[in-house]
Amino acid sequence: MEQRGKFDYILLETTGLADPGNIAPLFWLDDGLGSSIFLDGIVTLVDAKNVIKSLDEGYGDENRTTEDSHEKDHDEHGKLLTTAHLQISHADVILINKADLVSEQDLKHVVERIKSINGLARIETTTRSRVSQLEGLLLDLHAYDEVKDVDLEFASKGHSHLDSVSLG
Amino acid sequence: MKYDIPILLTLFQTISTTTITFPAISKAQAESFDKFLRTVLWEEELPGSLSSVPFEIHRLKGRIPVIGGNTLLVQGVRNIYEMSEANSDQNDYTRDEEAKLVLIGKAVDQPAFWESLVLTLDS
Repeated sequence: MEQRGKFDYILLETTGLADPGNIAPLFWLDDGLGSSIFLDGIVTLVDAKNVIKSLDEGYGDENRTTEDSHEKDHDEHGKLLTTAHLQISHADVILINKADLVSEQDLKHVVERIKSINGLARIETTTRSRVSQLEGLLLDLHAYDEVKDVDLEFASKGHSHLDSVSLG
Repeated sequence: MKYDIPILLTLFQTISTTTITFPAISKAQAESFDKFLRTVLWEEELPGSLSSVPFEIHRLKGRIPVIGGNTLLVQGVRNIYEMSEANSDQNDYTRDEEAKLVLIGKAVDQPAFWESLVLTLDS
């Protein structure tokens, strides 16, 4: 691994993992432990053409190994909880790849669907896995450095606030 | 004390993002807030014995202004969370900024979540 200042950079690619949330906390080490390894951020790559199908039907999950495969997880409304759900929900950055293979309308639908699952993550579209620049998108995310009001404000948009309740 | 809390109903969604908004807290309430997080993330229970359905928290992020103190910043992945204080020069908040706690996960949009938070903060 190349030395970058006093830190090594480990890019963890979680496509094969059914549940990236199990791994991420392992890398989240306390400053106080004097660790030189820290979690910069979690990046997920989704396929514009298949992601809706993955979310609705668990497309792609049938290839999971017997260790982590189990009966398809249905929640109380009969909806599937898929690998795609977990990959999206845990991410800080979500790259929607093969954006050129779907219509603008379909891409909009994909972005909306992903945003409804994870309202905090930064979403970018790419074509053929090409990104305009690595810094801030794949590397040097500093996703855990600070919590800005603008990010939280952004997360609460696009949801239907049905009502306001006053208590007390 | 009055709380204006938007109810976010993302019906029938497996995993969703919910934002709980509440007023800035007092320094005394900061400990209660931390207790709420610990109970929710480590015991996977909602304090206050409210009727609730099982939930999972995958990610959380929050900014909680503290009256007379530094804004609390909190972020988490699954059951690991970190709470820190914004430096006083980072307190880019106006007098009226409300606290925001954003949760991503399963069944995080159930009303019991903010009911439980309110109960814990009031105790």
